[in-house]
Amino acid sequence: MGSNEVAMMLFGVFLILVFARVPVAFALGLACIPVIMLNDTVSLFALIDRVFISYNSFLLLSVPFFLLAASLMNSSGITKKLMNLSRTTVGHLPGGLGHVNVFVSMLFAGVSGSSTADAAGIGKILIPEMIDQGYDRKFSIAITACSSVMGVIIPPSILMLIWGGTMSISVGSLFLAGIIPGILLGLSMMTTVYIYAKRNHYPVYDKSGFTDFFKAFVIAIPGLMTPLIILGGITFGWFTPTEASAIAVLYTMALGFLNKTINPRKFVKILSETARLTGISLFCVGTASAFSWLLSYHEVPQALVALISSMHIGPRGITLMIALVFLLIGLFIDAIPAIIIMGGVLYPIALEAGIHPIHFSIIGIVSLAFGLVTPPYGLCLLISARIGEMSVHKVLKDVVIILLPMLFILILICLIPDIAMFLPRLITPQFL
Amino acid sequence: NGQQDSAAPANGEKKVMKINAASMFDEVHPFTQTYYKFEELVNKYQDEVTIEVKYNLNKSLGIETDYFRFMSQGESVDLAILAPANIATRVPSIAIVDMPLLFKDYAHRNRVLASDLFKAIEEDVVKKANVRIIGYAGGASRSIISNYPITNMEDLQGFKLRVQGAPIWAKVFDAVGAVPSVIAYDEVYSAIQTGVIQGLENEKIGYAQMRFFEVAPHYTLNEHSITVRPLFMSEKAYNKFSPTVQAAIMKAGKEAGEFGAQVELELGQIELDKLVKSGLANVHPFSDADKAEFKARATPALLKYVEEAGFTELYNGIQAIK
Amino acid sequence: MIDTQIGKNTSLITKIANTLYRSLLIIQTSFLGFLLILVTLQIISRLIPALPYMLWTEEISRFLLVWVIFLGAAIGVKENSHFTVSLLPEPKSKLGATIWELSIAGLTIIFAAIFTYRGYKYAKVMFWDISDIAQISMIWVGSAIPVFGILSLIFLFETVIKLTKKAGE
Ligand code: NA
Ligand code: NA
Repeated sequence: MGSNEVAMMLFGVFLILVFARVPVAFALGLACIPVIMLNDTVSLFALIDRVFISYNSFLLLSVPFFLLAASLMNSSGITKKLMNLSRTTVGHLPGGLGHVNVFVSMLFAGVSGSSTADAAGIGKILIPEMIDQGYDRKFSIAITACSSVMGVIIPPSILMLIWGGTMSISVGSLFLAGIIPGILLGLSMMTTVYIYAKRNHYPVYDKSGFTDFFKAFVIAIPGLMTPLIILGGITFGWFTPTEASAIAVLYTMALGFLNKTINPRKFVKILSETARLTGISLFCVGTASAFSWLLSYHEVPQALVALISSMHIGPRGITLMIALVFLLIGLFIDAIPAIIIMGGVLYPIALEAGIHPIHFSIIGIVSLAFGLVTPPYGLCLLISARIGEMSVHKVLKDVVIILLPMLFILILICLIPDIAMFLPRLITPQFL
Repeated sequence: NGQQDSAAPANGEKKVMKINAASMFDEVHPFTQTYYKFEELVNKYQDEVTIEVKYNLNKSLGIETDYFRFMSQGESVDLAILAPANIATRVPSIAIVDMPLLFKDYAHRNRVLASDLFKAIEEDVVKKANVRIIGYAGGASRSIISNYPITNMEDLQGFKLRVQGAPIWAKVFDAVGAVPSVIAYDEVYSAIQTGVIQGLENEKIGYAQMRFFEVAPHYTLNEHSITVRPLFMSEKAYNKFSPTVQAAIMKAGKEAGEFGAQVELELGQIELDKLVKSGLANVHPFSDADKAEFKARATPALLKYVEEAGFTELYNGIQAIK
Repeated sequence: MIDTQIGKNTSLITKIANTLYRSLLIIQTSFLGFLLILVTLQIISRLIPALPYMLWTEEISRFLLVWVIFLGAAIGVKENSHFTVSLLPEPKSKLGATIWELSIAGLTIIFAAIFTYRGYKYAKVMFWDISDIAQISMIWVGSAIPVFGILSLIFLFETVIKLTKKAGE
């Protein structure tokens, strides 16, 4: 079988299975079977082997702790304190709670590496409150979902850890590179909120006094300390990512026990939920690894490089194409397995076109982050819609409206490498 | 050879047999060049079949430990050069082939390989791991790579480094005062940049090709080992061939390995010089006195290991070769 | 969450599946808790020079994660919580929907059967492999593969029985 046939067969079978509602993790593994059967130099051993080996990696170790820490932040009241700080900062703008929703996601993104915890934690508090105050239900759900994507773009980020680890790219530089794109995305969402507020006459509040802001800030300090631990720890090499995430867990646990928002019983419950979430989110990493291994075995990446370079679309065209491919795969697959499948396929193309590895990575990460809110498979959208008690397709229109300016930012990131490269160039030039 | 190609009927019947070779490195790396040489020679030394080698480079099929499992299983990978430590989980005895401080110098290494000393181990490997050693590449020296300068034994104390899986590596580095840990080769880069470790020990060529210099810009020439990198063929692939072809495989493997060792010696230095010239790496000398202290501190651990593993006779045999 | 209350009319397979499920929840959660303790120990042992730097924690943590993932995947089969894509409309008739779900269960059974049989063979070979640091047999880790397979098969068997019963009603 040639590269093209294999690629078509793998993706074709996968898509058919996924559309038939076979769970994504199993669909990835099942799609490997026909290709394996048709090739007598590969057997099901390869499937088992790739799945097993991919789990036995120290990179994935930080994932459960990042999820646990984020979940503990929600339970221990840290999220609430960040929200109060956001209220005193942007609550007076037209569409106050909408801005609070976006702004607190930016803060939360800075303390956590996970977008799903952002959608769940902030959504639980803000969606009901927004609806109470007369905001449109669809809009409340959509803005909660869309703002949560910043969780994996603004550092720390599970995605960047996995990305840097699997492709040997400096994680510290990736963290820095994500800051400006993340803030731009936040600003674009706040602009959208402003326009919504003006058109729908959403409520406006008085500006909080400086004392209120200062009080909220002081109360939020323990929560705001977490990024120092995680970011400082990882960027400066004090701790490994796993250790940093474990320390974040211990720290939030301590805060929770001290202010009595968490007790042993509650902790065990959160631990159990995290364990199950870890299982199902990482299981597809294994089958994705097998899938991606078969693609390389049949030299699909090389064929793709040859195809793309024959098209002569130039580095800018290629950045846009890379974004498009990640956006498309993000429609169906979670970000981590998508990195494992497409990262290795597209990386050689980027290198061939002279795109800087960090620029390439940020394009990929931002595009995949959008996948968190794009149906048919968008975890953050699902979570927000569930909290807002509304079916996903009803909120789609608002999601698209919020996403359009964000897509514009993505295109800017593709065409102007400096948006991503400025901070790493300034702070960690040795990695460039 | 060209004559046979023109002899249409004979050539038409000549069967084409495909072999999958795998490497973590690119097309100029000595391992890959060894594969090229093997393909050339194995077709020169026999007329029965045409052996076509497919090259799976740049980690496309995984890393060396993965190649070993696939070869041992008899699928996907048929030919690969591996560090012996990769198969020591299955065949512990092979670790001695590549033990730190085993050889006095490159010439000594070559004389040992030319002797019959490793015969028993070669048979053991076929029996336990279902792979066959058909030649020996390698031949470069391994030194310390770090994210801070190391110039003497003092600097080495508490140095957290990645070592290969075979336990002897951890024992030796523990004995000289470093803190060894075992990490998969493809995770070393991120382990250094995230602070899990501060460096590793490796050949010059690996240092350049794996881009370790980006996270660990210091290369210290302590030269604690001269490598032996067996060229393996899976037993299943080997058994597909007739005795005549098998003999050609062994001959071609041996010569390709020797060729690869020569290439590695030259290329490693060139690559390191390039890095130094462009300011990406700093090379530090390690004085003879420090080398002697390294050896003195490591030797008891080495001897203890050799004795426990039952290799005393073999070890003495190697040391006895002049 | 799953209703694991055992009533009078519960079939044997459901009883078995529910008991397994509840024990799995406890085991899997403890593994993650143990993982947290190990990493904490690792940090402490590094920060306090008097304590020996523990090399084995890193390796054993990875092995525990392998178990957390495989057991979590089996739990996901029981809870039917593996992520799916919902794009096509659901079949209109109840029977159609049941047949649809049975087909998905069938495909998942193929997957689980491969992991049981090939996973068993894979783990058996690992018996001879010794881990790099802790020097334990890799069978302790590799057996997670067939264990996942068998557990999933049991849970899927229960699902199929429930679905066929529903179709019969
Ligand atoms: Na973040
Ligand atoms: Na999506």
